[in-house]
Amino acid sequence: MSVAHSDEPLIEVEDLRTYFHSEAGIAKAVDGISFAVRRKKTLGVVGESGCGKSVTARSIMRLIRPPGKIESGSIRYRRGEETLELAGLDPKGRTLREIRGAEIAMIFQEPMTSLNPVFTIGEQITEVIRLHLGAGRGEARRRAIDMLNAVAIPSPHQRIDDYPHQLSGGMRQRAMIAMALSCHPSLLIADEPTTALDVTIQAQVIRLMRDLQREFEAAIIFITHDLGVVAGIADEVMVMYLGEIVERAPVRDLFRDPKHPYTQGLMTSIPSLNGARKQRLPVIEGNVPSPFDLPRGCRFHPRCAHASELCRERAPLLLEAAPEHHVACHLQDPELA
Amino acid sequence: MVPAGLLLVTFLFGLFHFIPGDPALLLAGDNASAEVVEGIRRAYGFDQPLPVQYWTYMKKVLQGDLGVSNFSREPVTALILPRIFNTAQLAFWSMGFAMVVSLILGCCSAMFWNTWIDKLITGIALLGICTPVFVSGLFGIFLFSVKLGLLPTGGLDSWRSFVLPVVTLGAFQAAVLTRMVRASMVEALGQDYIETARAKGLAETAVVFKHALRNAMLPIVTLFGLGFGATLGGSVVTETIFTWPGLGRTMVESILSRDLPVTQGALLLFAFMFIGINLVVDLLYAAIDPRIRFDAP
Amino acid sequence: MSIVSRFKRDRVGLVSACALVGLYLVALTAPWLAPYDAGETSLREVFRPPSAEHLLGTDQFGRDVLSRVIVATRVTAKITGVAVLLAVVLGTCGGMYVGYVGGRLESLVMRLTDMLLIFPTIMLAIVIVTIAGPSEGGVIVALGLSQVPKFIRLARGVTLSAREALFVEAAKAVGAGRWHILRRHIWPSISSPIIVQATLSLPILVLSASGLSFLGLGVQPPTPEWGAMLNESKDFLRTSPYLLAGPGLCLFVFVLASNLVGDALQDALSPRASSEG
Ligand SMILES: Nc1ncnc2c1ncn2[C@@H]1O[C@H](COP(=O)(O)OP(=O)(O)OP(=O)(O)O)[C@@H](O)[C@H]1O
Ligand SMILES: [Mg+2]
Repeated sequence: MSVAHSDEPLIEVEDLRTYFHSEAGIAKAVDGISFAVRRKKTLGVVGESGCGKSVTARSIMRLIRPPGKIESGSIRYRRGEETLELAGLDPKGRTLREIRGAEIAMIFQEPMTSLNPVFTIGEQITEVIRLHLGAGRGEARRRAIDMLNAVAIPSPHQRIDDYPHQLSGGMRQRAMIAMALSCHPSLLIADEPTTALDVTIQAQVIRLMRDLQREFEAAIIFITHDLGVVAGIADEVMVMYLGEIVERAPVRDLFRDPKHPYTQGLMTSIPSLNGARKQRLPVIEGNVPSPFDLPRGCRFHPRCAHASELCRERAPLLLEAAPEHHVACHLQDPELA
Repeated sequence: MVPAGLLLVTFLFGLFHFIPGDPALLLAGDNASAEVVEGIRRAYGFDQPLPVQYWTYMKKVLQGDLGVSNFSREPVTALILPRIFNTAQLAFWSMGFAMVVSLILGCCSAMFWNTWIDKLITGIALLGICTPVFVSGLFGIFLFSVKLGLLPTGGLDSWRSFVLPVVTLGAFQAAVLTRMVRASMVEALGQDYIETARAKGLAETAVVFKHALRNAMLPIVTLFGLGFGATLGGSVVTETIFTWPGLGRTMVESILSRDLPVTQGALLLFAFMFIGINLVVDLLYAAIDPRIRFDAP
Repeated sequence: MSIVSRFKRDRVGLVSACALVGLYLVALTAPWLAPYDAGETSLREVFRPPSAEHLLGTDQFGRDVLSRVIVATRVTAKITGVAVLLAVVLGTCGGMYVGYVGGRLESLVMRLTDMLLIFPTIMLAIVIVTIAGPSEGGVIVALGLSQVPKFIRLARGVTLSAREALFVEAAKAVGAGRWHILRRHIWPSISSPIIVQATLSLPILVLSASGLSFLGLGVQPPTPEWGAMLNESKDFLRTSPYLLAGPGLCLFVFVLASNLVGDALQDALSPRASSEG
């Protein structure tokens, strides 16, 4: 599928809000975020646990189910010449089903539980191929073996008939990737595809995804805890905190000059490249507040060393502080600083 | 299976000796003469030491000899064998009814989780598990036999005799199982791989009936096995309501008339049916769960 | 006590708990509540349909059905109450003990309970009644024993996990005795699941008790019992169907209330399930 206007974004999210309603109140898991991704580009999404990364991904796939709901915002998806509003589609409808798995595919966070334990990986991969490409049994199987080969699973002819429990964690994640890529999606959403893997396999999987991206000209939204991983794969990075974007910039700019105190905090806590990588993001003072009870003003102020009276009172807007470099912080606002 | 069987036979042998009083006197009945009692004592070997009696009893059971009824003097085996078939028929159809109904209602309930459909189904199921078989059965007789004259009040003559007993017994099990099927399906539908299936672009029916149900079948098979056992247990009451010529009614009558050899025989057969069902469930479970199939040594 | 407060927020649970308490109050005060003597026969007043005088009518011996139903509440409450207590005491002590000492005794007992659990309650009860003889005492023992395996499993499970806990290690290090540890350190974590299981067993026992009586293997006439009354009414369905109503409805309400209380207690104990509701 070749695209006429290759500089137009493939996916454009604007002011997306996804809330979860429960007895305890409303959890604003994603609260007004905007971003766009072009073909062949990778957007990295980072942030601490619970900041809304997975909810963002599932909102794009329209996989949010009650008590969750997309409250407002638009998700525009460029499909050939037309532009589809995903947020307006019926979540069980035909159009969305044609897009899911075929044009927008997702790799889930937990390789251990995201594959169905009672079907072989072959059955699970051929299912999606037959569904979207209308391939016959033999054709689908051949294609599935090709995909397993592409994700570097040894002896795919035998592995294809294995059940998930017979594979190691790394193998399962590769099978997931093979499944997600088997219909050559134009957008791949990878939700922490490497968190559960050990370092060497992590590097292999990332290299694999980059190769496949080049081959299929896909756009990738790559979600991770790990700034080190983001540096290796992303073109642009978006840092989230409590459902909001606090900083969005091209990867080089972000690493050279992180502007938001939260991003700076994350940077200082990157483990060295050779060191133990398993460690989760953290080490910024204080705890993440509950999404039910968000702080007034800037959501980061209770943990911010530079917080002023203004930060406690008014929420900062996401503004362009340098070319292409957006940040939501009063300290960076030229009018106020 | 074999140790369970041995244990059972031992237990049933013990039944004679657990019961307070002289077993010969029990067997002979209340108004038997002293000679008759003595005769029975000798015939049954109650004058022998226990281990010898045990050995004799075991040998007889293994040969299919379960003794003779105190009243009709018929061999117990001949007495109860035709009854087993009737009980099996009742249990089989009731359980079939219960499985079909509970699968449909349970899946519907889980699919429309927390909507009015779900609430309606759970409500009906709750009422069902609170209505004992002998209340719904008697009410059914009153309505369909006495008032409307559509169905016979009892016995086993034609297919019409089946309707009330099967539906009464089946409906109670269906209510119990619907709740359980729903719980298993809700659990399965909450798993990560369901999200994966939806993300693939599968239709909701494929997600529910292929991906979720196939996983929920693992607990459901166990539940159906237990349900089959419970249905057999419930058949005892159902047979009494509808004067069904089955093993359960025979057993109850034999207990009431203190016809111990018949009681023993009926209990033995019931017990073997429960163990058999359990065995089938284990085998089925292994057949549908790949984790067991492959990890088995 | 967050369990209590969570339970209080569950309106259905609260109402059914009140209904259950009400039934037990009826059971306690039955002799005073009953408008007539439940055993008094009157050949001139047989098969009277419901009227202002006899709200639920009279039976084949001219006895007042309402009075019999009320007195039967007492019989059922007593049988099931004592049976549950028996099962709880035997099962919990047994389960805690084998769970704590472990070893061959434990595996033997667990094998046995596994085997017993494949038999339905009513079957186990029938076997025990065969031995103990059909009577009130026989039913109590039969029903109590039939539930023991469940409590053994439950108590053993909790004991096993509690045994590994730190405070038990500490108590052992100090040299506390086996029974002291069981009572002081393991019992507290066992009590709430046991209470839930006991409540969940109650409807099963009510159904089984009246089932046994319906079969003639339970409480013997002339003692009024719902199942036995239903069995007697069976022969008069054609002429006096109203005999079904009283005992049938009471059974239904008792079972419904105890089921709902059991569900509510279970929800209150596991917050995850309750937030889904
Ligand atoms: N099913 C749900 N019900 C209620 N709240 C939810 C649900 N799913 C997500 N949330 C809320 O959304 C917030 C964001 O969750 P999300 O899964 O997006 O975090 P995340 O950034 O992916 O974290 P992690 O790195 O741990 O995966 C959570 O804090 C939670 O409060
Ligand atoms: Mg996540």
